[in-house]
Amino acid sequence: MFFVFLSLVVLAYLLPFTVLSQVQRFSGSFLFWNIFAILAILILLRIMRSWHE
Amino acid sequence: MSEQYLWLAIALYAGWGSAFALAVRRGARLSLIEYFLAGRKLHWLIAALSYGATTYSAFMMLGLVGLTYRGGVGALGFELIYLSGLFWAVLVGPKFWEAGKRHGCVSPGEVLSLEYRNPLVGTVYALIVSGFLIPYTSVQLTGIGYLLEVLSRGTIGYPVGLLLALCFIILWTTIAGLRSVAATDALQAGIMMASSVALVFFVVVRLLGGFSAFFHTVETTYPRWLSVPGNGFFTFRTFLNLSLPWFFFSISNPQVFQRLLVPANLGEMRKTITGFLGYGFVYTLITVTLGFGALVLLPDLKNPDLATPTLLLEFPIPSWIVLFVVVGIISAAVSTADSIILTLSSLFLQDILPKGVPERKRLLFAQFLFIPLLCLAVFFFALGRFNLIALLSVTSSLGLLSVVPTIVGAFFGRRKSDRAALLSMILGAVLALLQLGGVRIFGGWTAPSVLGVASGVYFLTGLLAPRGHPPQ
Repeated sequence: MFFVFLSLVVLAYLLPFTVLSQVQRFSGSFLFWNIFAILAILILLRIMRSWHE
Repeated sequence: MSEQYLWLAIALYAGWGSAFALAVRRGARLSLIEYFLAGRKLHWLIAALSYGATTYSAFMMLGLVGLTYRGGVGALGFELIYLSGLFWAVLVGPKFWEAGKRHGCVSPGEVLSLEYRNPLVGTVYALIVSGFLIPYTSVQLTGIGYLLEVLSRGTIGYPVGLLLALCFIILWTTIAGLRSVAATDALQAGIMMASSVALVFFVVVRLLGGFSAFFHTVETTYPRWLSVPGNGFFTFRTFLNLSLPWFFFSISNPQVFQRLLVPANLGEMRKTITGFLGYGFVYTLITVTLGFGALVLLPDLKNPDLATPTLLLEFPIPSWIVLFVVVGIISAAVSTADSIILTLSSLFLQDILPKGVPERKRLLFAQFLFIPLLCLAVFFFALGRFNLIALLSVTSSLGLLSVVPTIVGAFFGRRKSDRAALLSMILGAVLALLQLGGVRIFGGWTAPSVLGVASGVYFLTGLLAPRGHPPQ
């Protein structure tokens, strides 16, 4: 999960500045970063499920 | 906006906030854990709202709206990368919480001192974070000063706004410590969310003709604001320099890091973080939408930080929404500033003040010496009237990056070395200061260089440290 998450963050830096840099619509970087945030939150929820005291 | 209405709104806010703060004071025993960690008995919903109010400051409705206005969608990416940075809280949180609970720690510095078995680590940590957080705290007061000055058309002077904020901070931190801060934070988080939702709906639906028309207008009039680098503001370097410090915000900023010591158990911590993630995502979207709305409605603003106040002033927005938003922004600023002041006073008490002072005396020091002194420092810094809310906020976070390797290493490092921690924090902070002072050692890659140097020094010094050091 750790590496999946960090890969996702790397994509959040790279994709908007490369493949999405010419897409000047809400369906471009705006949508992408929203999807990124939702996926990131889901991964964090999954990691937190494994917590035990 | 009538000055009388503004005063009425502020009076209502002060009354409700103080009533909340006093209500939770009942039954609170005077102890350090009670004062700084609310006795580790905070309900998760209050804790989540308080975490949200502490994290999201005046920066959101002033700075982030301004940043969207100036740079477009990059501001959304920057803020959502911050939100994903809760990863570090999720990673470090359980170990940090367990260590804090086991040893009865109150401040993050104490935990670090214990992990590295050297009290100097906590002291250096406390000094560094305090130095970098005072400008960030002053930005909160600056936001309130500007807002009231602009909305009252100068009749409520900038210093009056600062003094008002200072009064709320001192009052709500000293009444019952984190209990009163968290209770007022929860109220303020509600005000922040409700007021921004009301404003964004009015702006988009009533002033811009609905969401479809709004999306269409932005896409046709400002297409370059919908990509990065787009209009040129968010170059990759700028984006990285702005977002990297905030990716580590949840552990580098002690006022939120300390909150991980508060939950009664890990289940409560999980619910707190989950609640905050939902709150943060919605609040971010609302704020960025408002920035795009301001761009369409006010195309020629000289100072983008004033986009929200100008919007409130120039358009026929109902007075109740305007006053609600004003109180929302004041809430955001005060809730962040009082949490920082409370955390910094705990660091001064536990990590800088000599050991051996009785608990009762320590509390008196916190309430009547450290909190007022920190407030005064913040007030005088804010009198400087620095203009760039967004940049000042982020540059403060740049310096805080220097403590990240020490924090992560404390819980995941194979060979914990106090020397590595000390050198890494000091050199990282010095590099941040040099860069903030205009010295461009690494070609303008400010955030990566501070993190890289602090991590490199930590790793290399750790390798060179003799085995068995620090002594068990």
